Amino acid sequence: MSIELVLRLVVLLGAFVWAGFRFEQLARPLLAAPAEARLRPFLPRAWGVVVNILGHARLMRKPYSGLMHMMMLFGFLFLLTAVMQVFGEGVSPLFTLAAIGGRTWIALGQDVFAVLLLTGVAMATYQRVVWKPARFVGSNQRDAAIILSLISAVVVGMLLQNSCHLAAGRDALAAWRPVSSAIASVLVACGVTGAIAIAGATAFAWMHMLAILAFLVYIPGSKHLHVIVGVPNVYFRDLNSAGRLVTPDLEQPKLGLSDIAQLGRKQALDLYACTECGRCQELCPAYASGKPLSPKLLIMNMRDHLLEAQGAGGHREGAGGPLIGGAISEETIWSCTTCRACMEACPLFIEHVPKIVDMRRHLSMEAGRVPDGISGAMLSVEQRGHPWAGTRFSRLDWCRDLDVRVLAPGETTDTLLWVGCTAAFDARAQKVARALVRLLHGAGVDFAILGDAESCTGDAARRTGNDYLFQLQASANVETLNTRAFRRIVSICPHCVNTLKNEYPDFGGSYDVVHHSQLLGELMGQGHLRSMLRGDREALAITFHDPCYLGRYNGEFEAPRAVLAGAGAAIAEMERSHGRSFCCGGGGGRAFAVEPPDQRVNVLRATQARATSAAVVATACPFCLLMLDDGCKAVARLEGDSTPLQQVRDIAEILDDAMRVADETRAPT
Amino acid sequence: MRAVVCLKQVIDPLTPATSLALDVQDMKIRVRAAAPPVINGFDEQGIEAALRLRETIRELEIVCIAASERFNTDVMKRALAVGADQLILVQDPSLDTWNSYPVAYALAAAIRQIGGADLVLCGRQGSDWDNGLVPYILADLLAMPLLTLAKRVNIADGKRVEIERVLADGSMTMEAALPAIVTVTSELGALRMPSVAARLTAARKQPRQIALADLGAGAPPALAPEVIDLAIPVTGRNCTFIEAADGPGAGVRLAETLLETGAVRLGMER
Repeated sequence: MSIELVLRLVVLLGAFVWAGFRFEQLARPLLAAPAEARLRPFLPRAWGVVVNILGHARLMRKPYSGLMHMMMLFGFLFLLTAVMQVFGEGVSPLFTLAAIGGRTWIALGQDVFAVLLLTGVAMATYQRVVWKPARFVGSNQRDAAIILSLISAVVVGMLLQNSCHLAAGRDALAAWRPVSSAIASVLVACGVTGAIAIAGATAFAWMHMLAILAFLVYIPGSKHLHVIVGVPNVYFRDLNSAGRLVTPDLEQPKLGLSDIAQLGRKQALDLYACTECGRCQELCPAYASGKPLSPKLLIMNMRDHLLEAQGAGGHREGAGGPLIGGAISEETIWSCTTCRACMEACPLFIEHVPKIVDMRRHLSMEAGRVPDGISGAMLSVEQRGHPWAGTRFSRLDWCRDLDVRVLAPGETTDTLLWVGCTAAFDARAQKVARALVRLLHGAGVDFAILGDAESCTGDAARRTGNDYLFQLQASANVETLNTRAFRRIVSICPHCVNTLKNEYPDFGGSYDVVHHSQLLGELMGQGHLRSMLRGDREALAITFHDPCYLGRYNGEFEAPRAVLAGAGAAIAEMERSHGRSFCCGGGGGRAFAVEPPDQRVNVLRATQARATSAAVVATACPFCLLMLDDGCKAVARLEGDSTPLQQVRDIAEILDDAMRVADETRAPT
Repeated sequence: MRAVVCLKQVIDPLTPATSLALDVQDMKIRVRAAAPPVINGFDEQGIEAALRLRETIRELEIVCIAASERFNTDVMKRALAVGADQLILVQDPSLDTWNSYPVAYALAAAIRQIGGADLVLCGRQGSDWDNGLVPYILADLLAMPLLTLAKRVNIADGKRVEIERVLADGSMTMEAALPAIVTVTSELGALRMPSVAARLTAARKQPRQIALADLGAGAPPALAPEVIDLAIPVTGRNCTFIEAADGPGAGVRLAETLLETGAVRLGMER
């Protein structure tokens, strides 16, 4: 046994033990974490891995980065053959992959993919060093540099090892190794032949091997851990409807997430999977507005905290300081609008929003620390069944002069109009409900409302962590709904739609729920409203703001646009629309929060709307309506009178305006 | 050491006028069922003051007492959820009144029956009738010193209570020997949010219900003023655009309009 072989074995063993130790440190908190039931169903889960990992579905939304990653991933996978080769040959000179094509197509593939991989590394380096997109702010740049260097070392080591073999004339595969051959001819021209080349081959084989082992040992503490946990993280992704948060048992001793050890296994795996790519940060409205939340930093900080609290030496009570108020500030937790842009952007399906809501659950249900505006609104839901404390209206005032039936227990209707608190209690939003009622009358829809029996769905309570209040509201509403007969529910508020449709089944209420955009689209499709459209309409330039809980949460992007088109509008899209839409700032209870004047999300969105120069900003959510109305006024004030104030209107109001029938219930706008 | 906090169940002050109805027969204001009552906000601050005292005086027992014609128990149990040790509800049809005397007599009798109190905390006034008299009558009945409008309440050595009293232009510090009565005001701060665990525990607890007749409260003096009339204020808005050739002209026209509509009156005509 040669000394070199002994050395190889010692290094190999040492690296494996070291890496094993580091991986074990990481695995410990995962194994200790309570497992979620995320193993089945196998096929859709596995298919998601194929589409998202091999197919790069989400990564390709950024073509440059997507292509770069594709070259690196497939290069890495193919060069595993070279890894096998170098370790195999290192241990036994008889080792060969010849039986499976090691001397033909594998050799060719290694050359080709080496070039692709190096191209990927070059692109990544260009992106990190020259381009520097803002999404990398806060990411660990040193880590990225080390990873790129190690990858280069592996590939260059392999290429030069093969080239030296060729230069030494010990490899007859020149035809199958075009790149290595080209390098070899340069080496030969420089006088690297014979014994020098053989020594070079040995040296580069060492470089190749050491770089791989360094990589192995380095990975556990790096963002590059995603090469291992990426696949399981995608496989274990949440397959429930996006709008459904898990219903916690309120009798358990600890409510909400206040100790990192409470994290479920997939939730903890999320922390390891983060590649710090910043696609979440780039789309986060809270981050854009200057608030302390970045979804990327949230995950990175939770990861560091997990390792500090549970890594070396196992779980120690209080190690690493508190999670809330230590690793993650309360202000960060309250900054989130739950708009879900981060979760839709994440290539590895990390679940940011559930973690934030879980920490809010602790703050709301255990600590009793909730920001002023939000706590007042939630107290009002508890006391009055709606969050709009101080309204001068009762739940029926908006429709006193309209012919609207209140559905009593035991009665039947085709369509139950779930008005929602904002449309019932806010003077501006009431106009939307009134417009919808006129349209429903016009289309001859049999509908009724619940009147005083309707109570807040509890969406904002749930998303601000007060699941106790949410569960009270849900149970009461389900009881109310189940004593009345209807075919379906239609609501003006996407938050109500989401909660009624996706979250009430947990409380024994399964209903067919549609948003008013969907109902109006359907009615227009059936020709019910078309005949009533005025003929003398001018095409109105409109931009449409996608409400998060209609679009990202419930996948409806087209119905509101179809209604607008039907009303004769020409739609000018904002830079951020559809799945990438930018929140109005009102989700997740933020509609009730006090926004710092220089950090207002609605002002940012109004600025984006203004850039389209459309006369009207249309939306389909009462929160969006109020937030954008405010935002547009603020922006118009900031910009002086350079352009006129944009009107903010609901799609129902716009369609109602396009109707022929004159109606005295139509308030002047 | 025992602190008693006097509570009043009131019509939610944020109830919109459209949900209120006048009972002209009985001279009462009625609310539709859709608008449940609340604990008087100033009284909630009394509970908060007691809870803050207990942060330093661990053995402080907090007893909340309310007197009314009938109760919405779910609403009143908020006192237990936030941390009161006991909730006593004194019920009697005669307590459906805006007269402060019967209420104060009932509260005083209840306080005596549980063996007295070292400190009685009251809200500065009830948000329904705004009489603000109960604490004064209680002080008289219980023969305790009365300190009013506290935004901070402190018990120094177990023997004296010290308060910071809100003034229009600042504050003053007052103190009295215990037992004493203190009224608190909104500057003290809002009642804390109860934890869910505490709510669930409170939900299983029941308030102690006492009939007024069992308290042996004396007959209150017949000093009740009479309610002659009740009305719900009518609110509305009327928008008029002033049109004039220029700014000064518009100013003159605005002044004239304000005078014509009676929105302002000239000083000499008063």
